[in-house]
Amino acid sequence: MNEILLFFMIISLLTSYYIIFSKKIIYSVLSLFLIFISISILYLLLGSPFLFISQILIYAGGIIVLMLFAIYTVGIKETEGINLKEGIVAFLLNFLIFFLIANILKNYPFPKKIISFKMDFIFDKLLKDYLIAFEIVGLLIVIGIIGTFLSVREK
Amino acid sequence: MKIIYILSILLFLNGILIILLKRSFIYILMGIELSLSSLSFLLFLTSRILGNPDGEIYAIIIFGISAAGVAIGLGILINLMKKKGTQEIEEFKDLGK
Amino acid sequence: MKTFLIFALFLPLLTSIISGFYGHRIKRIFVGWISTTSIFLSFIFFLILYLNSKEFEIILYNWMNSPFNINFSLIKDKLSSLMALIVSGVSFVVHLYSIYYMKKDEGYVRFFSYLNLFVFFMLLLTLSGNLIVMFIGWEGVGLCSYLLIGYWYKKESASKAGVKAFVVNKIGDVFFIIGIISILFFFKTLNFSEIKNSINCAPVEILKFSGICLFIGAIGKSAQFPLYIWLPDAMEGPTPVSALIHAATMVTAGVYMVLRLSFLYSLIPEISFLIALLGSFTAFYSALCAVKEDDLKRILAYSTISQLGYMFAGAGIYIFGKSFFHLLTHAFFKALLFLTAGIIIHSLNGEMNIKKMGNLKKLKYSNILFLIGALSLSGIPPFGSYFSKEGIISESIKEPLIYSILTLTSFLTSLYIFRAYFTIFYGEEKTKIYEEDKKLLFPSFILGIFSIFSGFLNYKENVEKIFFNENFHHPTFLSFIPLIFSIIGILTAWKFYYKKELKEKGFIFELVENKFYFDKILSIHFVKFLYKISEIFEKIIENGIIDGIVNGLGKLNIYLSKILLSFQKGSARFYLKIFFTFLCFLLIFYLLKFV
Repeated sequence: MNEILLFFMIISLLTSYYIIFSKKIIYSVLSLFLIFISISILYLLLGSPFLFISQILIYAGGIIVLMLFAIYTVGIKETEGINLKEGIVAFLLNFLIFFLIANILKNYPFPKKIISFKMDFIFDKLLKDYLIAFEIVGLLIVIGIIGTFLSVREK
Repeated sequence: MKIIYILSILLFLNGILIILLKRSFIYILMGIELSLSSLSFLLFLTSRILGNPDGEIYAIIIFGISAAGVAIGLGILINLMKKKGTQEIEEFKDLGK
Repeated sequence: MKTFLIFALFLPLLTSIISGFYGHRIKRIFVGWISTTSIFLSFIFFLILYLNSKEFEIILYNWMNSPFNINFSLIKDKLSSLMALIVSGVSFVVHLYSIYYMKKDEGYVRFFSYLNLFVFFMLLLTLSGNLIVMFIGWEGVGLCSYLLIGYWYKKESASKAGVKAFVVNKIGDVFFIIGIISILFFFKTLNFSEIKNSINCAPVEILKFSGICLFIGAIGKSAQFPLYIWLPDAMEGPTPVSALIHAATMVTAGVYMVLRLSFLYSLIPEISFLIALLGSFTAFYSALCAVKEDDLKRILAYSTISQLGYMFAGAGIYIFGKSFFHLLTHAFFKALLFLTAGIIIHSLNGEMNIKKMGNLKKLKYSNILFLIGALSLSGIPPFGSYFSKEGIISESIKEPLIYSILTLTSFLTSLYIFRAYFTIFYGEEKTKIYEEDKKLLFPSFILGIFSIFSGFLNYKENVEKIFFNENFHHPTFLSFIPLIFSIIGILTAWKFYYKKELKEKGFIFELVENKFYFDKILSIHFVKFLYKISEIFEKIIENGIIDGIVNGLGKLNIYLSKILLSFQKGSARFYLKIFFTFLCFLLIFYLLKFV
C-alpha cells in the first residue's frame, strides 16, 4: 500500500518543482493538472472515492480549464525564469522549515492502519452539523463569480 | 503514513515557493491552488490518522473556497491585463515611490 | 480650623488661575473685585485663626520617606498667623487700591492674576512648616516679583529691571539651597519643629555654615548690601507692586526666615553679630543714598532697604521680637507711603521727579497721608514705628557700634523723607496738577489709620512674647536719643528745603549721588565678566551642543524615515517576500525549541 502512495506523492512533488523552473506557462498549467490528478488518486487509494471524484471535477476539471481560458484570452506565452539570489534563499528557507517540521513529526507515533469512514456518515455530518458552512461556501462561489463577471465586463 | 504526511507538507511548502518566486500573475494563482489543494489533502490525511471525520468535511469545504478564489483571481488577471497589458506584478508599483 | 487655613491659603491661588485663564471674558473691573474679595476672605480667615490661639501643623502631602522624611507641611503658630494676617491685610488694601489705579491699563487681568499668585506664594512662605515649602514660596515670590516688575514688558527698562531682580535673587538662592542641603544632611529633616528639637546636639560648624548660607539667600531676597541693586530698579513696576512686594511682603521674607530660624541663630553669636553689622551698615548706606535721590519712588526704595537693615540689625543682636514688630509697622507705613506716592504721581500725570513737583496744596488728603507716613518712618511718637524702631535702637546699646550706626541712620531717615515731603508739597508749582483721585484715597486711609495705631500691636508685649528668649524692654533715658536725632533731621530738612531749594553741589553730594560709584564698579567688572562667560556659553553650549542635539535629532529622524521608506516599494512581490521571510523566522524560532 505504502509504495503506491509514495509513488504518486513523488510524482506530484517532482512536478511541482517543474512548475517552479519552467518558463512556459502552458507547461506549468499542464504540470498542475498532473499534480491534481495524482492527488486525486491518492484520495482514492486512501479510501475516499467521493473526494477522488470531487478533486477531479473541481480542481482538474474546473480550475485548470478556467486557467487555460484566461491564458488564451489574455495571450501569455513565455515568462522569464527565477532570480538566482531569491531562489537560493527561498529554497534554503523552504528546506529548513521542512526539516524542522519533519524533525518534530518523526517521533510522533503514526498508527499502522488508517481509519476510513463510510460516505453516509460523512454526508450525514456535512448536512447536519456543518450545514451552515456548506451553504456559505455555495454562496461564496456565487458571489465570486458574479463579482468577477461584473468587474470584467465592458462598459 | 508518516512519509506521506511529511511529503505532503513539502508539497504545501512548494506551493508557497511558487508564489514567492515567480513573477507572472498566473503562476501566483497556480501556487495558491497548489497550496490549497495540498492543504486539503493534509487535512484529510490527518482525519484518517486521528479518526476524526471532521477533516474530510473541511477538505470538501476547502475545495469550494479555492474554486471561488481562482474565479476571483482570474477576474483580477483580466483587469490587470486591461490596465497595463502585462501580468508581471513588478510593473504595478503605483502605490510606491 | 485646619480647613480655614487651607482655604485661606489656596483661595488666592484659585482666583489667580481663574482670572488668568477666564478673566478676559468678563468685564475688567469684575476681575479686580473678585481678586480683592478673595484676598479679603483670606484676611478674615486669618483674623479668625489669629484670634484663636491654638497651634497646629498640617501635612499636605508626603513627598518622600527615605532617605529623608520630607513632607509638604504648613504650620500655624503665633509667628506665622500674625505674619499671615499682616500680609493678607496689606495685600487686601493694595488690591483695593489697584482696582482703580490700574483701571486704564490694558493688561489689567494679567496684573491681578499675577498679584494674587504673589499673595499665594507669600502666604505659602509664611505658613510653611519646613524649609522646602519655604523655599517653594521663596522662589515663587521671586518669580512673581519678576513678572510684576517687568509688567510693562514693552518698555525695555522695565523688562531689564525684572531680569536684574530675578538674577540677583537667584544668586542668593544658590546659597539658600546650599544651606538647605547642609541642614538636610545633618538633621535628616527639614521640618522647623524637628530641627528645633534636635538643635542642641549639632556641631557649631554645621550651624554656622547653614546660618551663613541661608542668610546670604536672605541678602538677595531682602536687598541688603551687596545684593540690593535690584530694588531701586524694581520701581519700574507699577506703584501697587512696589507697595506690596517691595515694601511690605517679599523683601521681608528674608527677615521672616531669620526670625523663623531664631533658635538656630541664637546659637551662633558671631554670625549673628555679622548679620547685625551688615544690616546696620546697609541701613546707613542706603539712607545716605536716599538723601540725594530725586525720583520719589527710588527714595522710598532706598528707604525700604534701610529699614530692612534695621530689622536685620535687630535680629542679629537677638532682639527678635522688636525686629518682627518693626517688620509689621514698616509694612503699614511703607505701603502707605508708596500708595500716596502713587496718588501724587497720578495727579501729576506721571511725573516722578520730586524736583519737578511743588505746591501740591490742592491735594489735601495726600498731604496729610504722606505726612503721617513720613512721621511714622522717622519714628515720632505716638506713631507705631516709634515703639519698634526706638525699641531696636535702644536695645542695641549692648553693642555700641551698632547703636551708633543706627542712631545716625535715624537722623538720615528723617532727613531724606522730610526733604521729599517739603519739596513735593511746598514751594512753587512746577508741573500742572490734576485732581487727586478720590477712589484711591480710601485704601490709603485704611493704611494711614493702621500706621498711627500699629503701636498697639505690641500691647502687653504681645509680639515679643512670640520669641521666648526676650527680656522685655522698658523705655529709659537712653531711648530718647534716637528720637532727638530724628527731630534734628526733620528740622534740618525744614531749614533747607521748606519753600527753598538747596543747591546740592559739592564733592560729598556727588559721591552720594553716584552711590559711591558702586553700581559703576559693579557694572564694569562683574557684569562685563558675566557677559563674556555667557558669550562662551552661547557659542559652545548653545550653538554646538544644544543646537547640535536638536538638529541631530531631526536629521536622525529623516535618516530613519528614509530607511523605513525603502520598505514602501509598492511592489506586491516585495511585500510577499518580507511577509514570508518574517513568517519563516517566526516559525523557525518556534520550531527550534523542539529540536
